[in-house]
Amino acid sequence: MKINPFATIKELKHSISSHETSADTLLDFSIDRFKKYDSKVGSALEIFEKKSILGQTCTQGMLSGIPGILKDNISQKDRRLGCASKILDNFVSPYDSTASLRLKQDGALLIGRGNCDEFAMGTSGETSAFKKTANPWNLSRVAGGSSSGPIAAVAAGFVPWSLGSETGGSVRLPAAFCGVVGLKPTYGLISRYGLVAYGSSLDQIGISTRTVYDNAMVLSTIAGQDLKDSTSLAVDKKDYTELLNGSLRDGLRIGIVDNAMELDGIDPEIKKSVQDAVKQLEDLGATIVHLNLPAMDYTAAAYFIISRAEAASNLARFDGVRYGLRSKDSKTLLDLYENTRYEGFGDEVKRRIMVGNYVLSSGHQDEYYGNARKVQQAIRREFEDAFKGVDLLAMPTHSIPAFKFDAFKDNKLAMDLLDYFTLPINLAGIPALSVPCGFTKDNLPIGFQLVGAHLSEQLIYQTAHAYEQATPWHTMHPQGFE
Amino acid sequence: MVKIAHNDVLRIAWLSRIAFPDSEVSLMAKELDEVVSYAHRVSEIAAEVTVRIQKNVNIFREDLIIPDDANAIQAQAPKIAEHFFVVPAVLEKE
Repeated sequence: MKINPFATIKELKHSISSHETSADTLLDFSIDRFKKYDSKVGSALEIFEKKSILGQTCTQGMLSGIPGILKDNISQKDRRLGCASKILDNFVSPYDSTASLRLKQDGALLIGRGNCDEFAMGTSGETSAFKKTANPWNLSRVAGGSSSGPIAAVAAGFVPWSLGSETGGSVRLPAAFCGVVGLKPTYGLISRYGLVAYGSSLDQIGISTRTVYDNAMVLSTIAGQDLKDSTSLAVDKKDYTELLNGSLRDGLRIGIVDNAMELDGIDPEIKKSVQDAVKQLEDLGATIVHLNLPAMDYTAAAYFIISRAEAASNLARFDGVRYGLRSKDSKTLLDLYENTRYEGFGDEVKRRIMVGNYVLSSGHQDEYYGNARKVQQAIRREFEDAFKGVDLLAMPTHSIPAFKFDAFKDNKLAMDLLDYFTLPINLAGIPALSVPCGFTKDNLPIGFQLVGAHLSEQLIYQTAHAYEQATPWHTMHPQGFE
Repeated sequence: MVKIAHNDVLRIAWLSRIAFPDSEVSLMAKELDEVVSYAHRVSEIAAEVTVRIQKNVNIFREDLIIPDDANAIQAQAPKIAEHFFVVPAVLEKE
């Protein structure tokens, strides 16, 4: 049977259960697709040997037999774990992340390590120490970051699902750039055990797939309380596909964030596509409410401070002593730390550590970190108040479509500010799902996001699924990967 | 407008335990300045925010000894002697 490279998980599961194909054949197919096409995309840092991938304990799980790829900052036992950085040279993880373990126990096939921005720090996918990931829709443009590789692999039809990580939009932004579905869950819904820490109060594993239903299948497999992560919520595992019947909930109210839609510099095609998406939701039966979230204008500044402060602390462990790169010829322990960290970290990581230590340093802590936490409270309250009047919010995921490589080489701040729409959600700890909603005239994907209150993933999925089924975007795929 | 000086970079580099060569200090000063100047705008609305005191909850687990394989970690050390990680001298020789 000829396998459709853009088949959904649901379709592939049916093919396996009806014996039209097998897990073994599907794995071969996926590995071959990486071999054939990934030289032009650069999505994977490593594809594992086939024999080492097979051997799952479960054949009846939701993802049983389905290959997927994990970002290079999510631990997989006895596999390299590099965070796309030289400083973790040759490091092999001695344990599985909880997400990896739950996937394996479910029978999913973890095929490799996805490329990413170094230590998940980036918006474009350009800061990996090893290679850049191209957008499958246009290979001269970025896939978006930081979860560039795993998401490009889904968009190009190499695998039907992948895991990335979010701290400030690093699943949703590349998902929008690459025309796929990307989830940032409620903070604490997916265990962070085994996710290399960047900004611990913000980090979450996120999921990328080509359809909303598939996304819900993956979340059902990995979500739920984990006693190894003390920030994990006391939430039982559940089936997030239950309400995906193609209809909206009765009486659904969706808020459109007017100040977001009027952002200075938003691409007019993106604005139009998001407006059309909202109109489509209205036609499906939703009531649209207009509102404003003024604190959004300050969230980038707050995010810069909080994330970088936490990063400076989290990355202090990479010092050349116990694992990874060690600088040669250091005369003293201090030399070893300083030289190893200079040689091992890339420029973006060094910049963020420096900013983090600046905002935490004596004389600056209250002015920066203290005030940033207040702004975080402000945006959280604005979302809480918003959700008293609406069930979900709709807004763009991005302000410009996927840009050319090196477009922001001389203006890093401008690139960081592209996360305007995604950052507030991370600061508030609430869930959001980016869903394809059209294309620019240059055939670049456009995404919009549905945002909900804490633990509203089921409602978000139900709404997004209804929208998706009423539109053609999820059936469209990049050329050149047939 | 924040102004990051040469000495500020050296001080923060010391806190960060990163050895920048002299040739890179000016560029780092400029880049730091750009970001922290933008980030400073949090002070524009911070004064208006009524701080809600958050009640933190401690999460406990049983204090159990779970045997683990230290070899898996020690095997990756750049330099090891018995069960010690070997590093250069802490203090410089005179």
